[in-house]
Amino acid sequence: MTPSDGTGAILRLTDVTVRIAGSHILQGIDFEVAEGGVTALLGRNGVGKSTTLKAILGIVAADGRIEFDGREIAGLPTHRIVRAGIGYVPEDRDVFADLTVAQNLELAEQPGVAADYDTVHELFPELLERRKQRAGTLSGGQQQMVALARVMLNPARLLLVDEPTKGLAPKLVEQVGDALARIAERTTVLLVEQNLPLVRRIAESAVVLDTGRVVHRSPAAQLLVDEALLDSLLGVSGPGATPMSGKMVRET
Amino acid sequence: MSSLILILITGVGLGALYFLVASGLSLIYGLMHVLNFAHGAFLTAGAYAAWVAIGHLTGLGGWAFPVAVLVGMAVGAAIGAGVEFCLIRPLYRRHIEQVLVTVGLGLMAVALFTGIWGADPQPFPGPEWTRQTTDIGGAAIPNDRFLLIAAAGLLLVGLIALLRYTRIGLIIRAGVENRTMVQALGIDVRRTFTLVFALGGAAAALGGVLGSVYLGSVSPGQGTALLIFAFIVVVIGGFGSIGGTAIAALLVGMVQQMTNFYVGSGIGDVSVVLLLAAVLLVRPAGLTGRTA
Repeated sequence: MTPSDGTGAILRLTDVTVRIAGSHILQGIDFEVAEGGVTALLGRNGVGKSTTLKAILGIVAADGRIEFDGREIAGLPTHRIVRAGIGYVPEDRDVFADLTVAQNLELAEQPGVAADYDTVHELFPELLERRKQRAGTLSGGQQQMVALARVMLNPARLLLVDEPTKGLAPKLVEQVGDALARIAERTTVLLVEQNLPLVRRIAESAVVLDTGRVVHRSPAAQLLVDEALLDSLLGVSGPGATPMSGKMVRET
Repeated sequence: MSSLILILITGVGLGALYFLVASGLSLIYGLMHVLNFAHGAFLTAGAYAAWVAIGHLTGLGGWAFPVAVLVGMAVGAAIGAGVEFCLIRPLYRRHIEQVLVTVGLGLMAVALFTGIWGADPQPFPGPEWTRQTTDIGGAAIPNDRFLLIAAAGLLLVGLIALLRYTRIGLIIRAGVENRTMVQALGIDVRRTFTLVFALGGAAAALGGVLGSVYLGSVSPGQGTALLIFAFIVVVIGGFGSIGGTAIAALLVGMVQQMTNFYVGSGIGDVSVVLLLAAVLLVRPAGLTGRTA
């Protein structure tokens, strides 16, 4: 796939600000997401990571420029942004609890696009077995599989994935990590994640937010080996850090 | 015994009328979080449209009434879609403004109908057989009640089929749960909003026409009076749940009829409010657990 605007960036945010109920959540953030691989969007709780994803998707109103594939998308309705080639896996999964697994996936099918059920069933065979089960009765890990499967059905060029391992058991974290790594082979991923071992495993580059501003950009490996930097930016002290009590801490 | 049969069947008939009006209201709130106080205007507009149409369709004989019903429903659907497109769409997520607009529209509609057709009820020329009765277990049941029950039953089956077996139904059910996520899957939920408003308008208009047959007349304030009961039904049933709305409509109709008969005429309205209070005390989120 060729770089979309000649610079290798598939997504570019320029001076993006978001205000919600009088609070200045994003205060003019600038960063790019290179085409291919995983870019991790990091930061402490409440610094605006999820809001950044929602601003890109048009779920929250934002000022500033948001370019996807060389085209301005700020101000477009969410469904048009998604159909332009951006998939979204929200924090807390947001599966439709009253619908079955099959119906959750069917809803994600886009008209005129051949849904890629082969890959979904290869990665998550459990979903095939549970296709008639109501999504609300699935475990957290299974719901995360549904959320990931929904975006894998369509040939998105960029996936926005918000804390996919939040609240999952270690074994499931590994499984979700495997799925993300597989997805990243064919699609660019912008990943919000508190689990630094996972970030270390799959991310090429990292962007760190603090109080609504970008405070650091670098290759992910470079950030994750610098303990002093990690401590000052994220309040953690090593590359083995993992989330605990909503805060990034070192894995013991 | 015959009195009980009469009360039971007329209670179901009244519940059927409430369901016709409340089903659209419930879907509209469930999907769009719009409290549509103009819903009564859809009902009255449909009733007047059918009344006007029936006056011009005398040459069709027995077909005049069903054609007039379809005309009323088409007018209700068109007004519903028009209101969503022109007035509600620019105000999504601005709930106070939505309430003001729909309340204003409801008041304006009553004034408009009064200005055109006068404040007095106009006799509604329903089919002759609707003014007759059918004997069941010694009770003479007015035939218009069967018409209401049949129409509500068909609407219920149609809505359930729509919601369960079509993609648009899937979008509506998902949208009732999480509208933002539906959009995040690339679905233009605004089209669904317009469709649901049109469906709600058509169902309300059907309720308006059959309500006019039931009352024997059509009047400017007819929609407003029924809207109050429709809101009670929707709150009791749980917003966005068609099944809950159907059960609540039946419950309200039965309680109202029984109270009117066994306690005193006119007390039925009070009993409905007491029923609402009791349900909210026991199940604050309504029978199906969905709240405003």
